[in-house]
Amino acid sequence: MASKTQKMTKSQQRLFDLFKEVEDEDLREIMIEVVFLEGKHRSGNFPRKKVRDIVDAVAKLQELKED
Amino acid sequence: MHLERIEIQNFASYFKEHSIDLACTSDKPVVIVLGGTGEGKTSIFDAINWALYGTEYERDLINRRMRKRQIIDYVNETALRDAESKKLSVEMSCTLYFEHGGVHYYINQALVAEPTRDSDGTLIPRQKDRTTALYEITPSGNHKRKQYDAIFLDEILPNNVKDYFLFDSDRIYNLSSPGASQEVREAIFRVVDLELIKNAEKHLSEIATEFRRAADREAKGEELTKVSADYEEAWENLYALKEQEEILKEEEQAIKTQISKYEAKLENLPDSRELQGQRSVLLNQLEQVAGEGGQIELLLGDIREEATTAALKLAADPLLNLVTELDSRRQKGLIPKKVSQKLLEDLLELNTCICGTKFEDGDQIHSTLCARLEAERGKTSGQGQLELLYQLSTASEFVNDAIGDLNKKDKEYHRLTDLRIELDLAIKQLDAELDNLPLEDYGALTSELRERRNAQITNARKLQQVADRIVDCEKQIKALEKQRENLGKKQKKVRGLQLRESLAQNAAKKFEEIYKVFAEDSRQAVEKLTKQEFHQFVQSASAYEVALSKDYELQVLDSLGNRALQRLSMGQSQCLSLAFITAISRVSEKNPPLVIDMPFGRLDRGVHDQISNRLPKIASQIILFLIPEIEWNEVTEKNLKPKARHIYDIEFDEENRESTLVKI
Repeated sequence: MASKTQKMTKSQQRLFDLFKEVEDEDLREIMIEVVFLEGKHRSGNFPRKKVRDIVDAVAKLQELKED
Repeated sequence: MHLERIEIQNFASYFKEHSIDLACTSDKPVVIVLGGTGEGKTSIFDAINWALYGTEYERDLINRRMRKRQIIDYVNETALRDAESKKLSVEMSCTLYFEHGGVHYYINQALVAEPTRDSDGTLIPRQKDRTTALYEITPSGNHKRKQYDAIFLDEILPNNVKDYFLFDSDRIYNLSSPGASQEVREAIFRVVDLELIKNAEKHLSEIATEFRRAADREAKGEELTKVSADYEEAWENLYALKEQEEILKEEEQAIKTQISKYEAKLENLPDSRELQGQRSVLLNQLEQVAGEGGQIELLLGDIREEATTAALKLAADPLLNLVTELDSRRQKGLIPKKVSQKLLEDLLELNTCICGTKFEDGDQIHSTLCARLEAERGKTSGQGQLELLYQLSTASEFVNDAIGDLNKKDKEYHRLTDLRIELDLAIKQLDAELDNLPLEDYGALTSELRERRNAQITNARKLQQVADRIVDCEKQIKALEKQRENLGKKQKKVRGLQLRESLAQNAAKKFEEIYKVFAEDSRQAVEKLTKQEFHQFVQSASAYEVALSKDYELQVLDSLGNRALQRLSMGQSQCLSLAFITAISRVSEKNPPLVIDMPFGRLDRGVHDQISNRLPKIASQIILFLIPEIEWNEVTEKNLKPKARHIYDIEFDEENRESTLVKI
């Protein structure tokens, strides 16, 4: 696999800054994970189930906090 | 990503194995491959693409508008014949060595084919096997097999982005032509990763829908079921409206593109009115000049008649000399007295003047000579010659005046003839300009443009109506959401699914908001860099300003702010496209190699200097495929050779149709 520790480009940094402006932490986490997934699968066969799993994981944490 | 080497075997016109070193340094970032048309240049371009993208590139080859091919067609003919004679299979392969993120890799694409004969007896290859292998070369020198898949390439240079870095001259020209805003938008969309955000929004919305439907299925109780059903319906409406909005936005874009094209045509077309006006004026002038010239021609006819008397002028000097001689001889007693009388009588009898000019009875020469004869008869001695001399002098004055008049008229006639030629030429030039204008007439184009503008207004109205309905729908959804939440609180499972739906939906909404901001930031960044790069490419175009509109139309404005894209020469348009590609590459910071097939093919030599001077500075690795003499000439060689790490020349054997690479 290509190197995982690549420096962020200016464009990615700008995107990251826009994400930081999202106040809701849970939403921010979902967004970052999904964008990362999109970058890995842009040529096709996108794993939609993984998006569901990401949302599910964040929701479970919220439910645990409520409990 | 940095390409290091490509090895090709039995690929296209390359029989057996050939290797091309592609590695560059920062001070010599260029690799040049020279070859004439059909000698195997583009095959190397195809080899690089096939090595990287394998079956995806094979699909691109089949779907190409021009030069459609299947990968099996690339099997070298000599290798196939050789395999047939030895009853063996032939292997065709491309191996590309490259570096990415400090790690060295190579990808090998191989195809094994069997030589067979078709129904016509033609030798053709039949695919037997097809393999792809990706290896990492570790620092210790081991070759570690890796999984080759789209994920790997997506991290380096995604397939739908490669067309902006590995391309031919047609592609770069198209980006700057009028009406190319869709293509420009797509280039930015893909290269600057806006595509990722849009897809993220879409996928999260889909997941939210799934959670919502699951929640509705779990909902118990009439009231909750009803509210859930209304809620679901409202969401369905919202999706339908958003889809409609997308279609209308695409329609808006298409109409804007059409309007741009018609405006571009019209900007050229009004000249035809002006040209035709000029033509009418010139035709009138020509008619007038032709009339004046005709009159002068008639006048000249008369003058030429009168100019026969000028012949006397010609005779005057010799006659005077003759008279002097005769007089002297007579005084010496060598000539009888009445010689002049005799001479005149002879001339009158012959109807020929002493200079040879014929005359008729009654005309001026005849009358003059008769008068002279009479005078001679009346003379006593020597007087005749003197009188003749006097008459000749008078005649010569007359002739001088006539000659002067004739010269004036001749001059005037020549002036009018020259003017006539000039007017003819001007009219021919106007005709040539008119011939080059589009066939459509002004009226038809303005009518089409008016229709498009009306369609634009109608579309905008529909878009606004849909936008208003979306706002109403969203309000309805919010209200139903609250009801649903309150009712659902009593059912745990439903509550859980509603929570997940809400998280996914809100994340999708945030992506939508971020997309708008990021898209505008990217557009501005690309616009700024394109401007800078354009002025680097075309220093003589400092009067022009580049703009990238909010609709992603790449435009050039003159000093008065008027659109000037159509006024750019083909070379300047190509520079604009190259400036744009450089800009998106810089903004994305992907820094892939630029591989360009025939970058100067469409351009005249005047632009070669600008482009070849700038090219080595726009990327860290540039591979150029050039046609000798046409594209590799004294100008491009002067600029590119000092920056070239490797220069290859393709030697082509016409008889066997085989190419060989020679490093020069």
